[in-house]
This record gives sequence, structure tokens and C-alpha cells, in this order.
Amino acid sequence: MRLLLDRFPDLAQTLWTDEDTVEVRAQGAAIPDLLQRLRDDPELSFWFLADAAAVDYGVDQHFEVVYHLYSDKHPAWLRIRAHVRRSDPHMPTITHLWEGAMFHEREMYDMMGIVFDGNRDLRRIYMSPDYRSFPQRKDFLLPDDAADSPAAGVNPLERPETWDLSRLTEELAPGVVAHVKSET
Amino acid sequence: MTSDVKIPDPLELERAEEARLRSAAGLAPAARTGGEYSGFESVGLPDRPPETEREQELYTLDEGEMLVNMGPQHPSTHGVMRLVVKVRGEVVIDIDPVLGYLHRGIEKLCENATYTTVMTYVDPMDYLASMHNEHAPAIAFEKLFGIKAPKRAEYIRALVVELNRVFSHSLMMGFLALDMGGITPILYSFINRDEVVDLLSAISGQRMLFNFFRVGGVNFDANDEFFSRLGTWRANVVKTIDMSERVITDNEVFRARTIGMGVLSGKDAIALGVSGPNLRASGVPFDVRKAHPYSIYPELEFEVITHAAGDSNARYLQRIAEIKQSIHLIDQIVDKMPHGPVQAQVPGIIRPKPGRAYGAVESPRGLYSVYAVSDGGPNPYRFRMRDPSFISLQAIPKLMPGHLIADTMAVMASFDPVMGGVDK
Amino acid sequence: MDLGALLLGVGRFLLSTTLILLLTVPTAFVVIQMELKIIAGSQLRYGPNRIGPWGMFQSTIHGFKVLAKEDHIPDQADRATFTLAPWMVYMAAAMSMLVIPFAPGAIAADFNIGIVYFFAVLGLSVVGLLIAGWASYNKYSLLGGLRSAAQMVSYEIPLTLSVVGAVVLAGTLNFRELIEWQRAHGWMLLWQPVGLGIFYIASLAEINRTPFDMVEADSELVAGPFTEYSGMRFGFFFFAEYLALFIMSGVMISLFFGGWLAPWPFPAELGGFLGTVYGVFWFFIKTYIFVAVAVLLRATLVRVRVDQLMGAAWKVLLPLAMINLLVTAAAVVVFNL
Repeated sequence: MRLLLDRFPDLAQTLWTDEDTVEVRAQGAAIPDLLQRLRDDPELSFWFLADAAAVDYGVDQHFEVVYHLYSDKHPAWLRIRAHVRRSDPHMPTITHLWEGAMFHEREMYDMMGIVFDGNRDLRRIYMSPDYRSFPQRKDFLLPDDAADSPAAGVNPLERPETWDLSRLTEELAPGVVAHVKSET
Repeated sequence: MTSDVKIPDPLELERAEEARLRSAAGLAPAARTGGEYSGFESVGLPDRPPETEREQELYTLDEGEMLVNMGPQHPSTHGVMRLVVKVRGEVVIDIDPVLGYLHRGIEKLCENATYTTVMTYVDPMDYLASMHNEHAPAIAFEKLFGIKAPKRAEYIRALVVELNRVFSHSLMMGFLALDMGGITPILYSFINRDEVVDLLSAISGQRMLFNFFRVGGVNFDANDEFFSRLGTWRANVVKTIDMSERVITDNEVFRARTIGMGVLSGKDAIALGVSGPNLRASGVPFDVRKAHPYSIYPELEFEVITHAAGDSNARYLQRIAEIKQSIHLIDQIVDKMPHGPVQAQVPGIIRPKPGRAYGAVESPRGLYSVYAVSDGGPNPYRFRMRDPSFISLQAIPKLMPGHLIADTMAVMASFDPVMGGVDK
Repeated sequence: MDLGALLLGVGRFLLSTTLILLLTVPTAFVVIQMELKIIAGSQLRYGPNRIGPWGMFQSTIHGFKVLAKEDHIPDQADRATFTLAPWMVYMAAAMSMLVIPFAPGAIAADFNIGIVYFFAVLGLSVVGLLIAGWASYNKYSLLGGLRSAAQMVSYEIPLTLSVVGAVVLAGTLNFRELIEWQRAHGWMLLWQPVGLGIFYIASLAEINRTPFDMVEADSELVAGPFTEYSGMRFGFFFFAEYLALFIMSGVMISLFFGGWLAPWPFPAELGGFLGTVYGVFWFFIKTYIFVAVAVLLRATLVRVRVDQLMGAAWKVLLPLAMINLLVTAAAVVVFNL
């Protein structure tokens, strides 16, 4: 891993190693360039993008996009953590380096809301296309959003104010009408 | 005897009911996108403008092209996935996979689960390779906790993982034939699977979603009866694999339909992130067990097989070769199995130190990895799984243009995706 | 004309056609039952074994079940043609059964142009499939019907050409006389092995059996021209398919394997009533052997792709059939057969 330090001295202060992982941090904007040099350098040769993940560090904190790379010349995984600010999160895309990053970035956009600039197909991948919030954020609240999506919706049983009370006679549901009237 | 009764359309009834409820609750009427119908409908263009470049490219129809839905319900299925195929006649021009029909939000669920409960959540992701699904988080969590599993536990882990690989590859053989119309090999594959699943249920108590791994070891030990059953299985397995192989491999019609189909070059495969047998069938010798050895694989001797062709037939043959390698590995594991405890001494409720950990295993579909972030609490702060089928699916829109519709299913079957993993 | 003979002829004709129509029902049932059991056996499972001893009556019950289903016609389908299509397919099969030589005295209609009649009538089923696809008012049924028609039409040519070699050798288009020729000269398969091969492959494609069932057996996109059919209408199509399997096997053995002749020449055939029974026995044994082979093919083989299928018909089978015909004709002239 000394090679890394030689090539990228500006990362030295964020280097951290574990028994089988080497981790560095970088700024979001510098990521494509960094990854490209890591991939194309014949001695580093990190040709396999193993994972691209997004982590939400909290409502008043930042996002992080984490890349894991593999090289057959080095035994350890290389982890690159990129800091992304939480308000208006943007990251440059790496789909020009690895086409397979497309689905990774779509998933990060869908789940966290990180917009990848330059990605040709930044659509939602798991949620329906008109879904409005980002499920894996720490401040994701389910009921408000789901109520407005045509796929999932108002659960009538949980909303007694919407019940048609004229259909509930006393034999069918003794005491319910009175209870609902007293609640709402 | 034609019925003249007008049966009301249940979807319309449901929509009317929802509209009534919403207006009673004071909400605005729901915005509707184009009907998300399943089945064999020709898809109209979506009634909103395309949001992205690629969507524009896909949904612009030239002369003679049409969009066809291979809906979430397939006759031959790998799970629920929708493929919007742009065809001209029989020839596929472009494909857009629409995912998310099986999305269960497992990653977010695991953020509310303890480190032990996570094992039950990850099982149904790639439900044909449940042991691998659990192995990866076990590795990641052991790094977070700083615990090492005892030797015997590691050997048992490797044993069940290889058993899982055998039956998963065997099922792929059956599904590949089934997607092309051969109705017999799938039943032979299920016989293979049943035999292995009997063994795995003897050791873990479950037939499919095993919940077997724990942080620091495995849940149950393997006793002598298990090993004698394993021996009986081992004596017969080569014959049963041969039985299915004989029906398919040299079958001329099968060869005509798989040789030269869906050729994925090594460079493309790396760029797309394809891994596992699909990558090795394109000539790239990347196997996580050798590349970044985990568990006891450094002590076992096996080789990484590759095929150069990169077509469906190569992917099929690759899996057969890997079954034989796995059987070889199982032999070595049983030979070398040490005695000892199967679970590390882990005090009742411990908390991991805050940090990050990455654990990767070689699942029957490729590189399966878990990235876990811990904040010192009893639940993982972020639990991210990288599923190989999800990434391999990107190969389909790259490979299929130029082939016929009928080949789409066959090529997809040769990639062996499992939608549980794709959709998490 | 002698009125008595005329009446006798008409009576005989009516009797034989009624018998044939009645015979189609149990024949199809038996073939379906064979299919269920043989495929189950090759898949290492039991197959039907509850209804009747060894599950013998399963397909009969299937027939009753199909009668009991709701009969639904799509709103915008053309009712007349929608109803007509299953009849056409079924009648094509039943009419072609008229000339099949079951036994020396037991041919329903002993035409002098029996072979030509057979192939002509069998081609009517193509029309039935086409109008089934068109009348359903479903563009995928239409496409399925068109593909099916294309497949059947392109395989009819090698099918009929492969038989012409046998006809030239025997010098007759009459089924009965062809079998008589085989009694004198040995089974046709010894004389026309290439013709037999082409006929076998083309016949499987003609009746839409695996490996050539791209059109009907859960085609990856649509269910073929039968999508909108339910209940007994679909039952007719289903019936007619298995009936056609039986008929094709029957014709194949008549043309190439000696028909009602026993495999050994002593005696190859008997006279009188006993001869009829003897002939029928051998006919059915041979036919069902070939039906079983076709069912086994379905159990083991995967489907051939549509373009490979058409390519095989036009680029391989048709030239082979023509060469076979040329060689046979030349041999007949040269060797004065």
C-alpha cells in the first residue's frame, strides 16, 4: 500500500488499514479521476469494481459514497470513501469507467437521492417512477409518502374518519359506531 | 353457453373505492401513471416525458418497431421481473429491465435488527444460495466484533457453502433447459437439490432459508450421522449429475440454441461488473475464493476453471465444471475437518466497536459482498449488500440486441439471475 | 346402376365414417394418457395414478372436465369464424382418418388416390389455425397463428415429397396396394430410408410437436393462436393435436413399416375376419410404438428456434427430399422395378 502513498500523496492523511482492507477518503469531485488512475496504472491495476454503496450518516451529517475495488496485484480490498454534502447531493458518475456502475448509481439515486452528474440513465430502479422520497435516508417517513403514491396507499382500516358508518349496523358491529363517533 | 353477464372490472372497482376514500379523507385524487399491467401487452409509450437520455433512446420508436412487455409474470420465470423489449418483427433492438417487483427493503429492515437477527433477514435475498447470503455478513460482522470463528466452525461453513453451490448450479442446469422447452431436466435438478437440502436441513433445521450462521461460528454442530448421510450422498452425486448432464449437454438442439448465443467478451464482462461463473465462462479467471481468500479456502486445493467462449453454452459448461470442483472441495473438507467448538465464546450482548467492515464471498452467481457500518449500537448502522445477479442483469441489454425474442429467455437463464437478490 | 349395390355402398360408407368419428375419441384419450404417463416416467414421477387402475381414466376425466368449463368468446371476436376454427381443425384430422389402412378389410374409404387425399385434407388444419388466430381479435393470437401456418406450410412440402419416392417405387397412390407391395417386396423402410427420415422429421413439425412446438407450448411471449379459446373449443384443438399425432404415426407405419403386416412373413396377413383382427392388432402396436417415441422426444428435447426451424425445412429437408426423389426415379427406370 506504499504504492498508493507514492502515487497519491494527498490522500496520505486519510489512509487507514485493516487486516485486509485499505481505506482512503477523497472528495467527491475527484473520484472519477482517482478511480481512473487506479484502474489504468499498471502497477496498481484495480480493474474490478466490487461495490459502490451509499451511507447516510444522519440527518444533520453528510452522505458518503463508498467504492470497493479489487486488484490482482494487491491482496487487500481498496475502499474509497467520498464525502457528499447532504443538501443537494451531487457526485460525478463513473459509468464511463465501468458500465456496470450504472445500476449501482441508479440504486444510490433511488434509495438515497444522490444525483450522479453525467449518468445517462438516472431513473429509479426499485421504487415506482413517480415515488417522491428516498427510502434509505435516515429521515424517511413512510405514511406521508406512501399515501400519495398510487401503488400503496391509504389503509382504510387505519383511518376511521373515512369509514362509511351507515353500513355498520348495530348487529354487525356493536358499539363501533359510537366508538368511532367519539374518537373523531 | 357464453355468459352474457357483465362482470365488473375489479381494478375499476378498486380505483373507485380508493377515490371515494381519498375524497372522504380530504386528499387530492391520486396521480396515475400509465397502467402498470403485467402480462403480454404491448406497451404504449409512458405518458410522461422521458427523464433521462437512455429512456429517450429506448422509448423512441422508429419505423416498424414496437414495445413489447415480457411482464412480471413469465411462463418461464426467474422471479418477477419486467423486460420492456423494443422489437422489430422478431429481432430485439433494445431491452429495458424494470425491477423492484420483489423489493422488500431488506437493507433498511436490517438497520433495525440486531446482528443475530440480520441472519434471518438476508436469507431470502438470493434464496437459492442462502448459505452464501449469510456467510458474507458473518465475515463482515466478525471483523466489526473482532472475533474469529473456531476452526471447526469455519470448516462446517465451507462445507455447507459448497453443498449450497452444488445444488444451486444444478438448478441452473434445469432452469436453462426448462426455459428452452425441455421439461425433464428440471425434475432431475430438483432431485439433486432435494438430496442436498435433506442434508442441509439435517444440519441446520431448515430446508431453504437456513439461518445457520452466527457471528463467531455456526449454530449447530455436525454429528456422525450427518457425515454418514453426507457419505451416502457423495457416493451417488456424480451419477445423478451425470444423469441430467446426459439429457442436455450433447443434445444437438440444445447446442444449436446455446452455442454462439449471448457472447460476452471478457473485457465487456469486467466493465459490466459481471462476476462468478458468468465471468469465468468469458475467460477471466477471477474467483473470490482464490483472489481474496476467506474462511479456510487457503488450506484447500482447487483450481479456477475458465472457458473461453463466453456464450450460453460456455456458461452452462462452466457451472457443471464448478459442481465437480465443489464436490472435490467437499471431499477435502470432510477429510480435514477438525474437532472443536463450533461457536466462539461470545458474551451475551456485546456491542461491536464503531467502524466499517467489508466481507465478500463467492456465491453461485458471483461476488456477493456485504459492507457493514457500525456505530457501536446493537444494530448495524448501515447494512449494504451487493448482489451479483443485480449487476449481471446489466449484461442483458448489452447482449440481446440483434437476437430474437425467443433467445432472450434462454440467455437470461444462462446468466442465472435470482430476483430475490436483484430486488433485495 | 344397381340400386341395391348403391344403397349397400352408401350404407357401408355411413357406417365406416360413423365408426371413424367414434374412434377418434378413445384414440385421442389413449394418446393423451400415454403422454401423461410416459413423460411422468421419464421425469421419475408417477403420473396420474388415482383415477382408474394405474390412472387409466385420467384423460377421460379430462375430457369431461373440459366440457364443464365456461365457454367464453371475446367481445370483439368474430363469432362465426371463432366457432368454426376448432371444427375445421378437428374435421381435418377426422377426415384424414378415413383413408388410414387399419387392416385388410378395414379401411373406411379405399380411394385410389388415398395418399394424395390424406395430405390434402391434413392441410386444412392450417386454415383452421389461421382463422383461430385471426378470429380471436388479439394481435398476439394472430401472430401465433401466422407463425404456426408458416411452419406447417413450409413443412408440408418435404413431407409430401418424401412420400413420392415410396409412391414411385410401389407404383400406386392407394394405401392398401402400397401395403400389398410391401408384403411382396419387404418393408418400405429398406427401400426408402432417407424418405423415412425426412417424413419423420417433417411429420413432427407438421403436427407441432416438440422439438418443433415453438408456436404453441408456452412460447416466450404468447400462448399462440389458442389464447382466447376455453372449455370445449380448446378441447377440440387439444384433441385434434393428439389425434393428428396418432394419424401421422399410423400413416408413417403404413407407408414405411408395413402397415398391418406382421413383422415376420409367416403369416404376414390372414384372410377373413381373423385376418382383420390380426391386421388391426399389428397396426395398433406399430402405431403406438411411434406415438411413444414422439412422446419421449417431447420429454427429452428442447425446442428448436423459429428461424432454425424454417431454415431446416427449406435448406435441408427440401433439397434432400428432391434428391431422394430423383435417385428413386432413376433407380426405377434403370432397374426396371
